Amino acid sequence: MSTATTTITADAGAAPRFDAKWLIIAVCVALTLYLAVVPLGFLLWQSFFTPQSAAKAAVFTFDNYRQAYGSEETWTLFLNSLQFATGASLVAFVIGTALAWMNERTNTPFKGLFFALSVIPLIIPGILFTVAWILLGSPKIGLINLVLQNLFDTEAVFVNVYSLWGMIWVDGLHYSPVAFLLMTAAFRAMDPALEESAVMSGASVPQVAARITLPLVWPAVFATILILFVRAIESFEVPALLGLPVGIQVFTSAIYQAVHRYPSQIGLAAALAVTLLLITSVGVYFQSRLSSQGSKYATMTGKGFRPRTIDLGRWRYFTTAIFLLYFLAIVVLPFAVLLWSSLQKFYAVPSMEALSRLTLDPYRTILSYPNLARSVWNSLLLALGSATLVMLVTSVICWIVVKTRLPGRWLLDNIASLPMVFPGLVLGLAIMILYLYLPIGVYGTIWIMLIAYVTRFMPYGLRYNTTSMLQIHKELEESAAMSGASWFTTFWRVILPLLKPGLLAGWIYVVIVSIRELSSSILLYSPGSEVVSILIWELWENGQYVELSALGVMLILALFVLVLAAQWLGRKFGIREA
Amino acid sequence: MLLRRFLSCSVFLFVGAAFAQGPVVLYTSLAPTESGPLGVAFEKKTGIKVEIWRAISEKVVQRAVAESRAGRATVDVVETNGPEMEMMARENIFREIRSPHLADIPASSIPKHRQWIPDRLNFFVVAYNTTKVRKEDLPSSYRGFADPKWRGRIGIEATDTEWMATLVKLWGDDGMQYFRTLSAMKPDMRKGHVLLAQLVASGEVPVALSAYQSNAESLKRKGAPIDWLPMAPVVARTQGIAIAKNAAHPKEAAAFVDFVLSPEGQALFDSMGRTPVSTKVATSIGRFDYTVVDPVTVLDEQDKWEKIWQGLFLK
Amino acid sequence: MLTVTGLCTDYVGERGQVVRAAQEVAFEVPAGKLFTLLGPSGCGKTTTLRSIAGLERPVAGEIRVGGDVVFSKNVFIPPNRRGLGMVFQSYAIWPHMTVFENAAFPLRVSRKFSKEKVLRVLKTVALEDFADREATKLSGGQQQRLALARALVMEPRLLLLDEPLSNLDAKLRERMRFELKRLQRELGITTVYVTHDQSEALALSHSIAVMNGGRIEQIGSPREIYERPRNQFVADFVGSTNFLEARVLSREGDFYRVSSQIGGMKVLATDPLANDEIVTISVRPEDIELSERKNDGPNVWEGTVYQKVFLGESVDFVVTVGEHQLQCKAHPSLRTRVEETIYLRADPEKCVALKRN
Repeated sequence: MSTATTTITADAGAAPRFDAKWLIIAVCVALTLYLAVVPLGFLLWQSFFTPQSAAKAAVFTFDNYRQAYGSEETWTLFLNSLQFATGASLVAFVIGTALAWMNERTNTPFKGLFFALSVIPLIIPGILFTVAWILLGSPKIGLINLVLQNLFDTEAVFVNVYSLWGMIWVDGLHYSPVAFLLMTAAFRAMDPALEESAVMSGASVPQVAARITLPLVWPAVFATILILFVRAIESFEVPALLGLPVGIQVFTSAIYQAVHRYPSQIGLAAALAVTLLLITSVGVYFQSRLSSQGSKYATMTGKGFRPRTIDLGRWRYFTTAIFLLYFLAIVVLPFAVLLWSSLQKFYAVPSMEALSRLTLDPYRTILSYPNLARSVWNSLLLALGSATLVMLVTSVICWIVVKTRLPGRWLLDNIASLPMVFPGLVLGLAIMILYLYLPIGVYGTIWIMLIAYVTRFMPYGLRYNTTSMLQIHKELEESAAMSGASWFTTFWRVILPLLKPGLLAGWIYVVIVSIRELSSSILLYSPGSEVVSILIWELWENGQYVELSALGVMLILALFVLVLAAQWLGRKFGIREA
Repeated sequence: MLLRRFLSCSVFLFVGAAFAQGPVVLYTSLAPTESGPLGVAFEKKTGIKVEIWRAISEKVVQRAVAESRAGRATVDVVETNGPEMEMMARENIFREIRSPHLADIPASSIPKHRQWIPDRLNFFVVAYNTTKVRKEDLPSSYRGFADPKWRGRIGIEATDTEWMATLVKLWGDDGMQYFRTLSAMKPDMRKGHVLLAQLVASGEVPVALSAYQSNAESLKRKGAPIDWLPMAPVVARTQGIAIAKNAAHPKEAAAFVDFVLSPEGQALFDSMGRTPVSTKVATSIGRFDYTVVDPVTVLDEQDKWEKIWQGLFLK
Repeated sequence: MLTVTGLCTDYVGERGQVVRAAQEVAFEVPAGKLFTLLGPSGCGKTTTLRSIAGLERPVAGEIRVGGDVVFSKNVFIPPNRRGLGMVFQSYAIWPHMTVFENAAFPLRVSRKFSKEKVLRVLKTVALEDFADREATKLSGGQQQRLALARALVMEPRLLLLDEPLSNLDAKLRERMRFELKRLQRELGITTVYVTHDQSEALALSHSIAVMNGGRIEQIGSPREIYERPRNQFVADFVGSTNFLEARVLSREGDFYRVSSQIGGMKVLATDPLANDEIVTISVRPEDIELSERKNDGPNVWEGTVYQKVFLGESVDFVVTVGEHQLQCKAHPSLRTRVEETIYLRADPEKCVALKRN
C-alpha cells in the first residue's frame, strides 16, 4: 500500500530547539524568488511602457504588444523559430540521449573517457563552433564538400550549412551535451533490475531502451526537451550566422533589433519575450504535473540498487562506431579546425602553403594579453562560485517542489525556471538598473556578475536536480529521520550524495556556461572584474580569429581537465558503480 | 611622536595627491589593442591613469545612460560610434567640449552642440579576395556591381542601413533603383563587419561591398589574401569622444580628450591602423573624397531606412 | 509502552482530495510485546505506523511512547527526536554508504558513535563479516537484516516494521519470520509490525489489530482473532472460512441454536444475540470434520463430495450440503470419491455467529 505523502514535519508547539531547516529553506526560497522576480518584474513592467528618453518620459501603453503581435511578420519569424527550435532540440536530444544511454547503461568499450569528451562541444564558444562549421560545410569553401568533390570528381554540393537543416544540425550538435549531461544523470540513478526484467521477458536491447528505460526516465526526457527547446528558441548565434545569408530570420532577431534602436525599445523586446515566458510556463507546469506523481518515477529505492550495465553483445561494436562518428563530427572536426587555425597567422583553408606558415604566435599573443591572468582568475571564481551556489540552492528548491506537498510549490518551480527565457541582454539590463539604485555596494564589483550568473543558470540547475530528485525514493530520506538525523543532516548526508549524478552534471554545465556567459557579463563587468568571455568576445570583435582559436584550444584543454577532476571527485563521494 | 605625526601627515598628503590626479574612467567601443596603448601614452605624458571599460556601442549607451539617470558619477570619458554618441548627447549626459584642437577637425563633422567631437573615421570600402578576384576586374564605381556577372559573388553586411541611406541621398531616385537591382541579385548578407572581412579572406565571400577599411587592412597586414579599395562614392562613419556631465574627474577627462584630439593622439590612431580626423595628421591610407554619415539623420530617419533595408535585403 | 488513542490521519490524494487514512485508531502495546497491524492494502495500517513514527502528521488523537506524549493536539515531536527504530518496506538502505556506515548512521548523527556497538548489532543480525562491503552488494535478505540492524543500533524504545518481509522470496520470508521472532523475543523490544500477510501476523505477534477502511475491526491474540472473529471481515481476512446465513432460535448457555442454510446448528457467539436475529455463521474448513460414517452430535450434516484437491499434507474438499457448498480440510487418509456421500461435523465451539452490520 502506498500513502504517497511526505508531510513537512514541523515543530509546532513544544519545540525547545531551533531548527536550522526552516532557516535554510526560507533563505533558499527567498533568494530564488528575489533573483527571479526582479528581472521578471522589470520585463513585465517595461513591456507596458514606451521607451524613456530625455526628450520623452515613459508612458503606459499597450502599443508594445500591439506592435509585437499585430504584425504578420512576427508570426512568420515565430514560425521559423518554432521549426528551428523543434528541430535543434530534437537533434540535440536524440544525440545526447543515445550517447548517455550507451555511456551509462551499456558495456560499450572505452566509454570511461567519453563523459569528459562529450562536453567539449559545450566548451567551444558558440561563434567559434558555428564558424568552424561554415569552414566545414559551406557549399563554396566547406572542407567536407571540397574533399567529396575531389573524391567523386563532381561539382555537386554535398552539404550546405546555410539552410534550416544546416542550422538545426549545427545548433543541435552544439547543445547535445546538455541532453547528454541531463540524461546521464537520469540513467545513472536507475535500478538495472527494471531493465533486466524486461530482457528476461524476451525484449531486445532497442526494445528495452524504448519501452522500459525511456518511459522510466520520462520526467527527465521532458525536462531535457523543455530546456533544449527554450534554449534553442532563444539562441542567436546560429540563426545570425547561418540563417541570415539565406533569409531565414528568427524570433530573437526581432528582439535584437528592438533593443538595438534608439531609443532602445526594451518594451517591445519585453513584449516579444513574454511569448517565451508563456511557452516555458506551460512546459514547467506539465513538468510539475509529472513531478507530483512522485513515487512513480522513484527508481532509486533503498533496495540494493546497483548501477550496472547491460551487455550489448555484438551490438557494442555498432555503438562504438556511433561513438567514434560522434566524436569525429562534434569533437574532433571542430577541434581540429580550431587547432589548425590557432597555429596560423590568419584564418586559411588547410593547404600545403598554409602548412609552411605554421606558427605559435597566436598563443604568444594570448599569453601576453593584458589582464589575462585576472580575467582567468575572475572567471574561475565566478564559474565555481555560481555553479556551487546554483546547485546547492536549487537542490533545496527542488526538494521542496518534488518531496513536499506545500501549496504553491508549482509556482516556486515556475518562477525559478523563468530566468531561462529572459533574453540575456534584458536580464543584464534589469540587474544593472536594480543595483544602480539599490545602495548595497555590489554595483561595479564582481558580485553583481555572480548575481547575474546565479539568476541565469538557476533554471538549469533546477532541471538537473529535479531529474535526479524524482528518482530518490522517499523512504531513503525517512529512514534517516527515523535514525535520529535532523533535516539538515539528512539533506547533507543522504539527499545530496544521492543527488550526485544530477548535481555533478548540473555543476559541470553551469561551470562551462558561466565561463562562456557574455550577454549580461558585458554590461555588468567593470575595470578590474574582467572575465574570459569578455576576452573571447574582444578577440572576435577585433577579428583576431587565430588568437581566439588559440584561446579556445587552451580553454577546451583546461575545462577538459576540470571535468575529469570533477568526475574523479564525484566518484569518490556518492554511489559507486559495480 | 613628532616623527609619527609627520609621517601620517605625509601619507595623508600623498593620498590626497593621488585623489587629485584622476584616474580617467573611459567607456569605449575601441578595441583594447588600441585603447590600451592610447591610455598608456596618455599616462606616460600626464601621469594620470586611464581605466578602460570596453563594450559594443549599444552597451556603452545603455550603461552610461543608466548610470547617469541613477546619479552615479562613474564614467569620465565616452568614446564610441557617431550615432550612439548622438543618442547619449540627446540624453543630456555630456558636457560641452572646449579644446584648442577643435580647429584641426573638419568643422562640418562637428555637431553644433559640441557635446561630442569626432575623433576618428571608419570607411566603408570594397574588400576582395585576391585569389578569387583580380583587381583589374573590379568596376571603377559601385554601379559596376549591378552587372549580372557579379551575381553570387558579392556580400554585404546585414546592418549597413546607414551606408545605403547615405548613397541613396547622394544619388537620389537613381540610388533607390540601384539598390533594387542589387537586391534582385541576392547578395550574401552577413552579420558583423569582422566576420565579413574574414569570409572575404577565406574565399567564402569573394567581394564585400560594405567592408570596414580597418578590418580588411589588419587582415591584409597579416598576409591574408585580401585587399581593399575605396570605391566612389566612399562613405565614412565618424567615431566620437565626449566628457560625462557628472564626471568625477572633469579636469583629467578634459586633458584626455585634448590628448586624443591633439596631433600626437591622432598620429597614434594612424599608427594603429585607425583613421584620424585631424587635418594636421596625414593618414597612411591615402587620400580620397568621402561622405560622412550624418549621425543626426541616422537617428531621425532610422525607421524609414530600416524598413526599406529589411524589405530589400532581409526577406 | 505505546498508547494510541483516537488517532485520525488524513492525506491528500493524487487529485488533491483529502482521504482519511486512519480513523479513531486506538490501541495499546505493553512493553516487550510484538503488536501487529494487519489488513488489506489501503486499510490505513501503514498510515497508522507512519503516524507513530512521526512521518505523518495526524489531525487528531494522541500518541504516547513510554509515557511521553509524542503527538497530541498541541504537541508534535519530529521523527528524528522520537528515538524510534524503523525498518521500511524497501529497506531504504543508502546506496552511497558501506554496510558499516549504514548501521553506524544513527549513532553518528546523535554523536554517540561507538565501533563496538555497531559491530555488536551487525553480529546480532549476522552481518559482521560484511561490515566493509558496499551496501548495494548485499542480497535481499542481507539488506533486510542490515535495515534491522540500523533500526536496532540505537536501542530504541520502540521498533516499527513496515512490511519488512514482503520483498523477500517465499523461502527466505519463512526463515526471516523465525529470525525476527527470535530476535524480538531475545531482545525483548517493543515492536509494532505492519503486514497484509495473515500467516505472518499469526506467527509473530503477541497481539494483532485487524484494520479495514481506516478503522480497527478487532484487537486480540492470534488465537482470538482466528478462532473468535468479531465480524465477517475479520473472519474472512484472517484465514479462509465458510459463511452461512442463519436465524437465531434460542439460547443455550454460552451457545445459541440457529437454523442455517444447511439446517439446524449449535453455535457460539461473543456478543449476545436476540431471538430471530439474522446472523452469519463462520466455520473454518479445518474445523469441519469429515467422515464416511455418520457421527453423533449437534452439528452433523450429510453431503456429497463435489470436488477435491490433494495438497500433500492435506486434502481440500468441496462438499455440497443441500444447495450449499462448504470448504473442508481433511487428512489425506480420507479417500472418499467425488459424488460419494460424506458426513460433516463441526464443534459448536468453532462455529462462530457474527452479527450483521
